[in-house]
Amino acid sequence: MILLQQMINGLALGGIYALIAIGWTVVFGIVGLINWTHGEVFMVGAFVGFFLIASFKMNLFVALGIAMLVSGLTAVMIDRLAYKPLRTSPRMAAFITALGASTFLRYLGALVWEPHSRAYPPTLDFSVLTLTIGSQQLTINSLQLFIFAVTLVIMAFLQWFITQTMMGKAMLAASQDFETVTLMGVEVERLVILTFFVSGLLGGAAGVLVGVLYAIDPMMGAMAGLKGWAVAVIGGVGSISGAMIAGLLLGVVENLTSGFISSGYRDAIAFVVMVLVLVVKPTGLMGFKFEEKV
Amino acid sequence: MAVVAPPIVKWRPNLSKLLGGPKAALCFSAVILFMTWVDSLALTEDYIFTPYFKHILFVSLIYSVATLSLNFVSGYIGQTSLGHAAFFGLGGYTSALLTQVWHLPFWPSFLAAGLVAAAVGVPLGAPALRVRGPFLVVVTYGCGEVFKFIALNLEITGGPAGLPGLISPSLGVSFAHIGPTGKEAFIVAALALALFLAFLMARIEDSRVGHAFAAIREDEIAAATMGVNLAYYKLLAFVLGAFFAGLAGSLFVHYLSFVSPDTLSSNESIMMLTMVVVGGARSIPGSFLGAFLLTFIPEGLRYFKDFLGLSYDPWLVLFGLLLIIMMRVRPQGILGAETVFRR
Amino acid sequence: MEKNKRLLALILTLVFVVAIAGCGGGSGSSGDKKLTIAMVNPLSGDAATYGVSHKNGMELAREEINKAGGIKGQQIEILFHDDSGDPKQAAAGAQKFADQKNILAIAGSCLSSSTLAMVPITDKAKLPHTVVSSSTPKLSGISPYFFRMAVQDDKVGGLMADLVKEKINAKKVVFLYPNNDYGKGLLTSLESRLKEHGIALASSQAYLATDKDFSALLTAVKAQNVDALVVGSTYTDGGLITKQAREMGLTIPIVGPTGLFSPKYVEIAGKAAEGAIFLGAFIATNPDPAVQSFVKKYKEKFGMEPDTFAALGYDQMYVLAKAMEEAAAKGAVSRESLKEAMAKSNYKGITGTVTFDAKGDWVRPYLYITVKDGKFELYK
Repeated sequence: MILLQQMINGLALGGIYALIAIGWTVVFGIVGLINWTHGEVFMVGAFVGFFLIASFKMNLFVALGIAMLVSGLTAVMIDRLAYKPLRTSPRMAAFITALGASTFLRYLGALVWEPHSRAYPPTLDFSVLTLTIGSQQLTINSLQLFIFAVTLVIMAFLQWFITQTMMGKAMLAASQDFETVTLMGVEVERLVILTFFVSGLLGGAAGVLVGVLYAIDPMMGAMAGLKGWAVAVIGGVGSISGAMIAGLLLGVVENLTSGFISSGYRDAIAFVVMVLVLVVKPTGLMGFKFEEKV
Repeated sequence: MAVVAPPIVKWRPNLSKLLGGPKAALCFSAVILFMTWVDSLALTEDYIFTPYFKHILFVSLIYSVATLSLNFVSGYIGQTSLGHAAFFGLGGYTSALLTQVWHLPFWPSFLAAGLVAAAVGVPLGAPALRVRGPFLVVVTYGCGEVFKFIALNLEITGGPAGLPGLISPSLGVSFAHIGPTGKEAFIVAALALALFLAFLMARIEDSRVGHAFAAIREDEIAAATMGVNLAYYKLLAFVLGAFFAGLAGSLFVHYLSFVSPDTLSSNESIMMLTMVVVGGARSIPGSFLGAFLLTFIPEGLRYFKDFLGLSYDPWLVLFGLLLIIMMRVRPQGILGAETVFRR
Repeated sequence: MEKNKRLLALILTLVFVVAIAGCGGGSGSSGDKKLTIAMVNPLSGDAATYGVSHKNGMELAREEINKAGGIKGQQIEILFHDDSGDPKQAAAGAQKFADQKNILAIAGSCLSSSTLAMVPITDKAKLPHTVVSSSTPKLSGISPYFFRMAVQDDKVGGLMADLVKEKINAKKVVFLYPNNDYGKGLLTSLESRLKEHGIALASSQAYLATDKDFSALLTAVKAQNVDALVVGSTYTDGGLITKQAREMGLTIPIVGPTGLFSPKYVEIAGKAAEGAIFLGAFIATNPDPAVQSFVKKYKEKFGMEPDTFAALGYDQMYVLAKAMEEAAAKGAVSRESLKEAMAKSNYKGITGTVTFDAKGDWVRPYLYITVKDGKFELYK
């Protein structure tokens, strides 16, 4: 029963990991860049949400929407200012740029918002549902349930966007074979902007949800961003459904680790699994095969 | 590769040659040794070069060794590694534990630190045989993080606060008692290590091994068809890099008399990679330049900050900007060769 | 293109040269009429909250002392070094200040690991070194120049056990603690004192200080049916534990160390903080007029309620000032005379009467504090 309880606890966090991971994976799939700034976009989303709710007393959903938009635009701006001029240069130059941009944004955030942690004001009344099965009890917190539901809705929307709309189909196709798609007459730069925007939207949403669930601080992007990348790799880079599944799995596995092994190693789990996946099956759970071109 | 070919600049190759030569190494050592020992010769009350300055000097030299050793992986075989601090910290912990728990003298522990790091370099380098480019970046990063979590959680490594009270190395006399500040002997040791490594690398570059590295860097598949043993040379690069990083780590923690998981942190790895990139990959003087620049500038900035009365430290924000600008203006680093990265 | 590069090279060289000159020339500028002390603390990074509070508290006290005429007409000046929570940078800061002959004492860091890296340097330089936290037992009696305005961990755990016994009368408790020296120190002392009181420790679980999600640990706690949850946390993790425990429907009393005692704890835990009991050195609602005037001044200057670090920093500045006065009465203030005077400290501040034992530790009782209607108050 405790096992089941621990699994339920991991779902909300897992949903958030999945959101972050999808943001990584779409950018990598289409632009081929390890977007190290994704964690910072996530942080920006969390802080925008915080100020909207704390200072302007906005409704959570409105705040979530605006924070997502701002994060999306931030991601696009990062791309325009930092990555675009390097589109034709070696990948590693772009990666180092991403490292630099991430450091810049993180510490700028710490400078502007001060480096201490904050909590969102109480946004929703949560209640605790206790199920009694035999002599065992199962507690379900409505807040966690709500967060999990929101992540599912966002992911379902994304799935619809990608499979049903023209732009989305172009994105999906580009992530599988970029060059052919450009030959088919899709405007590349517009596609890239859209990709970064979508990635930012998801990152921002994850940021606000983390804020509602836990607490926020300017350094939060570092670990969350990397775990997102680990999840993306485990799921198979470029694969959206892989990221979803791997995100939920990681949330649950982390909870099981700290519940049954030691809380000290919970953050290590993501990286251990990621390294194993990369060495054993580099395409991840559901990844595509990246052709090595000679 | 579609990089716009920069116009050929005459002064830079000349400069690189000049800086890479034995004369430059001699001048460099002379300047360092002068700054280290001039206080012992002069009979003034105040320091000409303060202990703080010597501290920074020592840290720069240690980072020079780390940067040089990272060049085996990130320079010679052209694979970006974000886990180099794991070797550095592993060396530190190894010699810390050997001297503190098993009461070994410093020098055998120092050597053991390098060997243990090198031994770990094999499994950590193994993924490089299967993945590369951006994937290798995250694998090395992940491995580094895992090492940090181990150091944080194990009882024997002292957990997050680490192990204080490490012994100082000695040659008859303890290093801490040589010279007016007790830092002089450390500087000399670090300088010797750095010069030895630089010499070794200069020799390797034009040897069989160096040519094999270059072949792998330029085109793996072509190298393999030419009969270069990819697995052997890739692992060799990792092992060599790890060995020297371990030695540097050992010397460093015994200098601080203290080792903590911060030594293993990914920030350190990122800093080391940045030093390689800023100085210029595969450039020996570039490694020194990168290490010295990125150690001295933040310390210098503190004075500007106090002078301007800023309430925050602008270094990391500027550092981020610096990297972005650097990649735009001169992606191969200040003293780097014209092409460094492969697509 | 070529011009650009040359310009870049030129600028970089310039920066480098200036940086070196800056480092080399740092030892000068010995103030004629100023008493200078220094602080090394995390002012950026994860641990910045403690460092900034500590700094604010000291700054406030310094201004007051200077406004009142300073020490025999000499103004006090504080220099800061941000170590970003990195022991390496803390060591560099300690070395920098140790070199500057005019610096009389050094305060900080808040983090045990950074302080451990600094003490060998300050000890060698015979520079009085004082901290308000860094409570690891490893620092006890480490140097005659080291003065700690904190109760070390192996005493705090015992005090928490007393609290559990006296106020809750629990039979069986669980302990959650951050996996660092602080948490481990608490565990050792808590364990032995609980045994003395005949209280069972059902289990103890370590977590990472940066953890945000505790539902797994709390699920395990819930399954154990204990009378109280004892935590060894600071406010961020403690606040989250409290919040998540209540969200899970865990209603047992929560007991914590001094670290919970911060307005941020209530901010993070929200309504869940109600009724939690913890140790405190200082309470802002303490009716004592000295405390009230401090709180008012602090709020005016920094726009927020002072926490324990701020109050201890404030007292620390006064302890240093009193010691400087003592030393000045006997001649010029030097590192040596300041150390002698510090060792004899007996200053009644807003956090209690500060004295140091032979090991440089401050042995003191704590207040029991609880949260009611979002406000701190003394627990009866």
